[in-house]
Amino acid sequence: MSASAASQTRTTPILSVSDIGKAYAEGKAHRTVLGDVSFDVAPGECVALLGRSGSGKSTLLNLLAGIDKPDTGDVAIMGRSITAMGEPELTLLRRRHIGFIYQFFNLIPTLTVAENLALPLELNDVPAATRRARIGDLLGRVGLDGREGAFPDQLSGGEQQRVAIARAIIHEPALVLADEPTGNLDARTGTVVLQLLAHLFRDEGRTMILVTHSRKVSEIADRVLALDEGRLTTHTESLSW
Amino acid sequence: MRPYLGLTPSLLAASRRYLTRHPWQTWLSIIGIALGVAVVIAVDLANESARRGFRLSVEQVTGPATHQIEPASGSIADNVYARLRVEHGLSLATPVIDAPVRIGERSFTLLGLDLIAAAPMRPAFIAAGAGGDADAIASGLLQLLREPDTLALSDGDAARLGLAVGERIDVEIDGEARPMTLAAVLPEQSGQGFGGLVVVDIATAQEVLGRLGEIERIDLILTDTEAAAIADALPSGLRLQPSAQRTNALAQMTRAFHTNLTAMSLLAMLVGAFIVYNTMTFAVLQRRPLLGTLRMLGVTRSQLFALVLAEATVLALIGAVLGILAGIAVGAGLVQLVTRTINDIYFQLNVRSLHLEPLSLLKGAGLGLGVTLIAALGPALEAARSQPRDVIRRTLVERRGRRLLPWLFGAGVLTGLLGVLLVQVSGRSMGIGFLALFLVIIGVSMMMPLVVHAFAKATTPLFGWLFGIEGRLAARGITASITRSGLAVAALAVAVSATVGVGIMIGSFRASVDQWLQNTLTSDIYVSADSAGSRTGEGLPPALAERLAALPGVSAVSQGRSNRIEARDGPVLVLALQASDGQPRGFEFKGDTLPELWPRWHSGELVLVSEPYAFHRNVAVGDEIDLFSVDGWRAFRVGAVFKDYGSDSGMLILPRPVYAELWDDPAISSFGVVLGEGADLDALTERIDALTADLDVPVSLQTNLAIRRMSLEVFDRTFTITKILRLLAVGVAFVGILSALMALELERAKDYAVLRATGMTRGQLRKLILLQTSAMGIAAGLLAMPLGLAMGDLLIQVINLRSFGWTMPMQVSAQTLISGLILAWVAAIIAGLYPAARAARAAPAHALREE
Ligand SMILES: Nc1ncnc2c1ncn2[C@@H]1O[C@H](COP(=O)(O)OP(=O)(O)OP(=O)(O)O)[C@@H](O)[C@H]1O
Ligand SMILES: [Mg+2]
Repeated sequence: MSASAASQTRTTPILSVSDIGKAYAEGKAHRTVLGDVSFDVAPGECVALLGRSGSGKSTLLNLLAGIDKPDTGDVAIMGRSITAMGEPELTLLRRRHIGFIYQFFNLIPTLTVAENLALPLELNDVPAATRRARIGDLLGRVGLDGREGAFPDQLSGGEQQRVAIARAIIHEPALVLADEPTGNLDARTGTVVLQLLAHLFRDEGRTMILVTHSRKVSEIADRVLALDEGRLTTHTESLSW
Repeated sequence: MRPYLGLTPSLLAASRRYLTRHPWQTWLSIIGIALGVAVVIAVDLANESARRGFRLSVEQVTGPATHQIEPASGSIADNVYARLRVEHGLSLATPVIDAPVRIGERSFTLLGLDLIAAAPMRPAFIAAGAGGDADAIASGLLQLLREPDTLALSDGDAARLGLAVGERIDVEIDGEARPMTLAAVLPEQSGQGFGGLVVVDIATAQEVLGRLGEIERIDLILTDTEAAAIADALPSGLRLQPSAQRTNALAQMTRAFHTNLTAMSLLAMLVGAFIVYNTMTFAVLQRRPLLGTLRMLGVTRSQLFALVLAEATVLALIGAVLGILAGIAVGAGLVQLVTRTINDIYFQLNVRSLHLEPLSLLKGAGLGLGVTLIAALGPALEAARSQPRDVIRRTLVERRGRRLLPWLFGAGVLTGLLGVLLVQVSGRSMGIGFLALFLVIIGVSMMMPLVVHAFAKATTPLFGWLFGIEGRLAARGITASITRSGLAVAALAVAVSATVGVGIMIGSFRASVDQWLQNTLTSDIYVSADSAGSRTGEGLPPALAERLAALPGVSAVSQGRSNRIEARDGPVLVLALQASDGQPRGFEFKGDTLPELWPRWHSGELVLVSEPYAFHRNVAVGDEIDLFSVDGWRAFRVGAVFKDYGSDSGMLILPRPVYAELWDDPAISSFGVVLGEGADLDALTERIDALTADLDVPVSLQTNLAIRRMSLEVFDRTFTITKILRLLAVGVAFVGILSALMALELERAKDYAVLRATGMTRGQLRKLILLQTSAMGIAAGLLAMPLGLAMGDLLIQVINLRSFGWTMPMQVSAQTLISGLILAWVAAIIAGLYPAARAARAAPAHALREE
């Protein structure tokens, strides 16, 4: 256990999940995807969300980001309940404090690499000079120097994912949510991207929740939460995949 | 600095590149807007130019006269003028005769004036004398006075005709050429110059027009007190009228014609608006996942809303600029068409050039911008509905969309009903009428996706049974992307229904006119004073009636006289009728009539009013209408309103004996001859021909059938402009739909590549795509029928009633409907051809790798 995990009890959690549940209608039947999930995440902590396919990891992450609303229970970010939050407020929260990394990159195809990175900064009213400096700096750190003017469809999968990572952290959000950021990449590229993520994460001391079904990926995390059939289990070892 | 409306540079760049990367969609939107703006501007310019030409033409003839003295009917005798001049000490007054004539290919107005009396009234004469070759002009004017068959032209017209003073030229008067000599050339000036006029001395005019001893009116320059004094002292049968009032009254004649053109231009704007609505909505739905990503990055709903409106504004600005340019170009051509129609039907125009009215340009461009932004509101709201979770899966968006279909349907029903309601309460406003039409179209197109979904779902087994796996996949493909395929079908259906609707409108109109002609033309042969030679004041001798009735084979002879009579609010066409056997037949009355209609009409108490007259002048059964007779103003009560498609400004029907007495006009314009039992039409025609051969007035004989055929020809010609506008609008709408369908199919390229990779042959894939677009086309065609019927009905209410004052029942031909269905299907097949060829050609691996 790292020091930050130990300090968890003393500081207010940046993310607090209490008893959330989610079910989907499938035809006429109701299928519970998540049940009674509760956990807290302290500032600066890196948590891996582990579980086999279909166990509800993406569903949980979407609830954390406010993309979806839970049927029961509550999610609080920085002490504020997002389940009760209105859409405009939630949008501002995402804009300022959340970075999201998708499995399928989701870069804006009509924007260049630099413009994709500039967008979150512009939305947060960061002055142009600061924007340029930060984009240049971050592109260097993800190894994409000189590719500012490229459009997403001119990049390889790994390169696109690195841009997506840079976009998720460029506005210095308090919380980064990543849904299998390496799931769509080959093993070698995946490792590179992962190392990059770990590196950036440690450099900046950000809070991160990382969804994965790979035990190897979860090794960069301070703590591992395991999902099994929509419930949290402490016995990560008992999961066999 | 905060970006305006929160639209940051990158957001704007994303939009800009989206537009440039989908050039087809972008340019179609622009063309849609430009088309609307261009047609509105062109029609407006043409209308304004024609009105201005009209005004100038009237003013030219009027000159600087402030008032006219006009007779109740016919003309004023020379001696009456002479007496008035002496009794009232009129110094600034001239007798006038004017008539349309032709020199070569050009039309002119022959203006006969008392040149000596007119000289001080027309400064141009003085200016002519003072300018350069004063002596030459003065002697020219003297020659006009002294010598018969001499005329003066403006220097511009003389130059255009290649004429020099002293040369002879043939002037065509009432269809006959008459050689005349150019005695003087008058300097052309702006405003009240002499362009388009053939100026002659009043005696020459009486001579060449065969109107010896009579004049048409007296032009005067009077102060208000002088005018009041003269108005009181005029003998009965003469009336003093301010010039401006006369000009206005004349301009009223063409009002309905202008309104109709404006209506058609608004229809073009409507189609343009729908194209914008459609392509913008499509562009939003296409970008759903991307908009979701933006929302996830913290872009607010209002920012997305503003973004789509900003896109629309850019398209609208480009469209407006192109529309202005195209509008001016089209307007130049249109003004010729418009003025020619006015010349044919209403009044001789001497000024026929395009007048670039800046207000027209502004109005058209502003309308284009406004309409585009209104049309973009829907898609902008749709964009604002984007959620972060739209990113996750397209199918999720579609599933959410499918859940929304019933709501959309409900909203569509409400919107449509609102439109229908608006039509009912909008009274006479054409603009609101079209807004209502737009609401109905949008409402129905909102209802369509649910119907298309149900249709595709219901027919999936049928398609599978008929066409195997390709058929089933084709039908499934439609439901899987229902938000966009529903929209494409709706767009196609609206375009087709527009053609069906306008087709129904014109068809109903034509059928009504045909029916009306059959009812109205109750005689078999019409004998009338030859139209080319007939003019107010002339006519056929009344004694002809008995001679016609005496001919073997004739069972009845009716008599008619038509004349323009002054009402309080301008001249109106009056038809005086007399049937040989009791009351006139062939009238179809609208609504209630006063009791004992015919006896009271015969006694001269009541007048019959045509539907357009009642509509335009706002009169109803029981109201009074004042007409200026030989005895001064006289009131008639409206006894009934009858259907009439013959005159769009309306007409009144009086009994001929009453008319003949009150207007001192015993002449007859036409006789209607009814064939007796078993009589032969051709034989009777010959006998009438022989009977009328020795009359000194040219006579024309027309059979019932010939008049009907000719009337319908005129009808078809009048609607040429309408048909051209319809083709243009529908053409652009079609291209818009093709692009939507094409985009939809091309978007599926990846799915198709998967199918190919799974073992589907090229042929199977082609079949699948064409089946799919066919199904959509047929669905659109079927849906277009009810919408087309509704549009036809609304167009009849909005256009025919509000511009002409005509009501008519809707009449639908099966051919109109079937051709609509085929049109939709063919258009959809064409839209499928390119994607089918491309999908079949592409190597699966290539398409799969493409993102
Ligand atoms: N919108 C939805 N409607 C119905 N069922 C859903 C929906 N989204 C997810 N599910 C179901 O919920 C369960 C959990 O899905 P989720 O995407 O969270 O799994 P996951 O753990 O992320 O799996 P993977 O590792 O494959 O991404 C799955 O069984 C899935 O079928
Ligand atoms: Mg997942």
